[in-house]
Formats: sequence, structure tokens, C-alpha cells
Amino acid sequence: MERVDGRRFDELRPIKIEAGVLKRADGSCYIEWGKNKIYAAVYGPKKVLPRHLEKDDRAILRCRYNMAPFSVEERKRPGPDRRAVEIGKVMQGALEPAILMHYYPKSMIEISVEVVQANAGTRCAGITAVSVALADAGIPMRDLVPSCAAGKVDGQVILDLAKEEDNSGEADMPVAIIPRLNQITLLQMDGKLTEQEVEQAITLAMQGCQQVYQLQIDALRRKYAGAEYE
Amino acid sequence: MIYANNKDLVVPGMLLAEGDYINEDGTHKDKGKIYASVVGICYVDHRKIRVVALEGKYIPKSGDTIIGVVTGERLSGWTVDINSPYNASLSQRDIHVGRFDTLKVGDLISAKIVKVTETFDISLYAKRPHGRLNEGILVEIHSSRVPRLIGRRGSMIKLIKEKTGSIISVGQNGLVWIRGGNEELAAQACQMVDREAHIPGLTDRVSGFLSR
Repeated sequence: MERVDGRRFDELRPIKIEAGVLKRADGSCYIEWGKNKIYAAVYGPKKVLPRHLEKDDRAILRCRYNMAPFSVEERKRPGPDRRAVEIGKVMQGALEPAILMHYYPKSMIEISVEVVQANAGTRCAGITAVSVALADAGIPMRDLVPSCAAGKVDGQVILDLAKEEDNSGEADMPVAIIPRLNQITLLQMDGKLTEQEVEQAITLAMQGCQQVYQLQIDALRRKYAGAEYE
Repeated sequence: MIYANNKDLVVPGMLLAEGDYINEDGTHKDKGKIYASVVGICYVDHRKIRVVALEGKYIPKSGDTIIGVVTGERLSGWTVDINSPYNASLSQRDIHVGRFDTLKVGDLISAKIVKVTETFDISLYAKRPHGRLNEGILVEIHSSRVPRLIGRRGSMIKLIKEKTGSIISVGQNGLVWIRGGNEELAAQACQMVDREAHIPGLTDRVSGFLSR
């Protein structure tokens, strides 16, 4: 089967990750995933605001996902909507298991994801970027969290749907994993898949995540290459 | 079995060692295996393994000397912002300010952390040689770069002090207080160390910058 952009069924779009791009954030990352362009910023750990959210035994994680009005073909009304709030929530759920939250009790880590250009799979690209930004902020983690989607188009299960494929496809399933533990931290699906197809899609997405994981490591290494300390 | 070499650059989740090793700062243990938890440089000392983080906020440790800003008055003491996610408290009897003088909100102090509890309640001690810092300017750098600013046996800070003629006091929390001499130049040198901490040959560049 020929895909719209000529990729194989198990091939990712070209991905470019750069760590430490924003000066005023504690940690940041810029990712270009196919035609997606996303900035992620991490602030913290810092004092909890509002105070009633404070947890005595661990840190809390707050995520904000925002799409720029010009990020999509038809101008999007600015401000958070139902979808943005939901994606913020699932991103928090996907990242929290990987962070060593009990290291910093009574504190807060704030994450902000800004989508500058969207082309299907922004939540996956967002999670990938945020976990690099978290590492860049020096926040202790069990592992990085790569994320990647699988889906079904024209009756075939394929990896990493692009916009055109997503629109005409039958199903889309974003997955985020903790590679070291082989645990899934995010699993969503829209559309219809049979039981075998779900299995197939998860395996395919997890293979994709492993590729993304290598790119994350490379990005961090590139930023700190040549670092030396007494 | 050890997988990482001394002075390797490691990223979170990287397997460092397995079996009979002791994990220290910047690492965590899971099912008998030791993994890095931050981006940093890995140090292996016999059986001890630690990772020195290249980034991150200041986390208070007892014994550290810090510089703080008084942010509030309380019944018998003050709350102090120490450039970290947690506030510290200073009791009236732990500082010497003279008979007719007192600490005001906004004052700078140098102090030693005496105790950090599990829930990060921090108590300070600010009698001699610590205490209030009068005049001077305050510079903020990353707390992870403080060892770089001080240098091996204080070489870097000594260099800056000599060339600018300033009195400089460096807090472990990344706040640097400078007074007298060429304050502006000293502040720029500190910021240069902060910016270029990871690039080799730092001392020569700072020396060149100060001589210019």
C-alpha cells in the first residue's frame, strides 16, 4: 500500500527535537514532527499556587495545552476549549508515572505546551517534547516518555498518521510508554478496530515509541555534548 | 556489573549498574538495578555511584551556606526566600543585628542552613560570620553552576575577586552578592560563568574577559 507521503506502514514522519530553546523557562524543548511544530516549557519545582492543591508528600503536576489560532487551516478561536483541557489532562496522566514526584513534596511543576502548527498527532509530539523539557529542567525522572500513534487507514494498521490519513482513516490510537518498564502511560482510541487490530496497533505504536526514545536521548546528548565538571 | 564509565554524560532512565552498588544523588534504584534520574555527569567511586545534575532548582541541604531575601516578619522571626521551592525561617535569636536595629522585609542575609525536615521546614542560623548584607548588588545564577563559579579550591572566585577588587559571597542556592570594587564587571563575569559553564577552558576565557 502506498501512503500519502510515500512512507512505509511502520515508518515515522521525520522528527527533529531540540532541547533548551526558551530562555526564561527552567526547561524547554522544540519539536518538529512532520508538519507539527510544538514548543514545550517546564517551570518548577516551585511553590504551589493555589495553595489548596498542595500535597504534603509529593509534588503536583499541572499541564496546559494550547493551540495557536494560526496553527490549523481554519482559524481557531483562541483560548482553552474542551479538547485542550482534555489533552492537558491526559498529558499529565501520561507523564506523572515517570516523574519521581515524592522527591519534592509541597511543590508544583508546571508544564506548558504551545502548538504553533498542527498536523495530526500533536498530543504525542507534545508528550515527547515535554519529557525532554522535564529532563532539561533537571527534574528527576524514572525515564523519558516517548509517545507515538498508530491507526488504521484503508483497512491496514499503520504507524503515525498524518493529517490526510487521519481525516480519511478508520481509527487513530495515541500511545505513550515508559520504555524501561515497557509500561503504557497513555492509551486512547477513536474509531473502530477489531481485537487483533488493537493488539497489532499497540505493538506497532510501541515500536514507534522506541524509535522516538532514541531521538529524545540524542537531543539531550546534543545539548550537553562536551560538558565537563570537576 | 557496571555499565557506565566515570564522567559519562547520562540521561534519565539510563542503566548505570546492577547488583552490589550504592546509589547516591541523581540516581534511583529499581529491582536491584541503578538508573540515572537526571541529565548529568556520572561519577563512579568504588561501589558508590552518583550523578551530578547539570540543571535544576536549588534543593536545600543542611550545612549549606546560602544567601536569602527576607520576605516576611513573624512573631519571633522572619521568613526568608532562598531561591528554591521552599521558604526558610530565621528565628530572632539566631541573628545578631545590634541593639537598635532589626531586619526588614527586603533585606539580604547570608546564613547557614541548620536543619531541613522531611517536609522541608528549613531553619537558618545567621550569627557571625553570617548576618545581614548591607549595600552591594545581587546576581542570580543556576544553583547547579555554583561549583563552577567557585572552581577547584576556590580558584575561579579568587580570580574574579582579584581582578575586580570586589567582596563576593556565593550562596549554594545560586545567589551571589557583590560589594565594592568593580561590581558591574564582577556581575558580568558571574553571568558568563553561568552561561558557559559546560564549555571547556572556562577559566582562561573568564581571565581574558576580566583583563580586557
